[in-house]
Amino acid sequence: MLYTIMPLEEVFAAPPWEAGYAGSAAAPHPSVPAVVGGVQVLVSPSYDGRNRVERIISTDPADYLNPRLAPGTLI
Amino acid sequence: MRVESEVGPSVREAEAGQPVTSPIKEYGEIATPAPPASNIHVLSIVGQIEGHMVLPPQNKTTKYEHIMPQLVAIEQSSEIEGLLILLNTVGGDVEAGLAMSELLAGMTKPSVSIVLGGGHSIAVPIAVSCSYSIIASTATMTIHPLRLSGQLVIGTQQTYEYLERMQERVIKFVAEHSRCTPESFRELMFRTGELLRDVGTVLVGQDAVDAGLIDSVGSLSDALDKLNELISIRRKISGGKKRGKVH
Repeated sequence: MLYTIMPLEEVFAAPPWEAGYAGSAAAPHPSVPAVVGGVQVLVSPSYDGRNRVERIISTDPADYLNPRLAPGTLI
Repeated sequence: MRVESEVGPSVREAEAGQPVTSPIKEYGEIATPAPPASNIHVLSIVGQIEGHMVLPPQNKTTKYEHIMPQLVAIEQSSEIEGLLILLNTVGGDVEAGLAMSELLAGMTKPSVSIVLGGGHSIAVPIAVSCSYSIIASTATMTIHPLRLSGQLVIGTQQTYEYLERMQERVIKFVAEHSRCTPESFRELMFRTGELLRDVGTVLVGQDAVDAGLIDSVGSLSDALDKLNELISIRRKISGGKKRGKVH
């Protein structure tokens, strides 16, 4: 059960790339969990076979300063 | 030995003559010294809090299966002394939110929450579950009644009772972990005329402190100062069995 200020029809709406709106972005690759240098991250596959860091899942603030884990970095 | 005999002559030649295809080992990166390990860890809870149900991909979510083991790891760690919670969330799954709140409230290590931007609906119990709670002066908290998600049949007595019981769990938790009484929290939930489409209350910065939900208005430096203060208190109380609840 959800307790949120977001209207439920918006939360459960079809994503824009499925609803087929003109000019809407293509479906993004789903992020998958990975471990880089002992740090848990979410990555999505990039065009050249490498993976792009999407999000760091860590509570250590130092991991967010690590340039090799910065979101957008190809690994 | 057998493997070596199978390797072709071209490969052996390449090994001898430093071929261009050998893996690059040095990237010319500047080795920066590793920052000292922080005794304060940070957990950001953003977007929708995702629980039992996986939400469609256009929602930005924080998943409870990521948060809950991290809380256990922080409580168990010998290096981490305090936890900072950054909240900017529109609400989400009731049970996932209550589960996180219960874990936070059950930690012996001090925790400080900062409500930034918005800490609405199920974010309210999470904010109050920490040892000390702070709200940014521009941040808002929306207190409103639970609504039916649509999968349940509307209008039956059982549905009403289920909704009522869920709501009671939230009210009970918030009242137990803040200066707000169950009566005044319910009053905020069902106040009419404050929200355009619905009943409820929007509390901005100081309003949340006046309502007794949040301890003070502030930002990052205030939160870190408070956390360091709580850490030094906990260091003095050796053993650390006492829960770090302060008001």
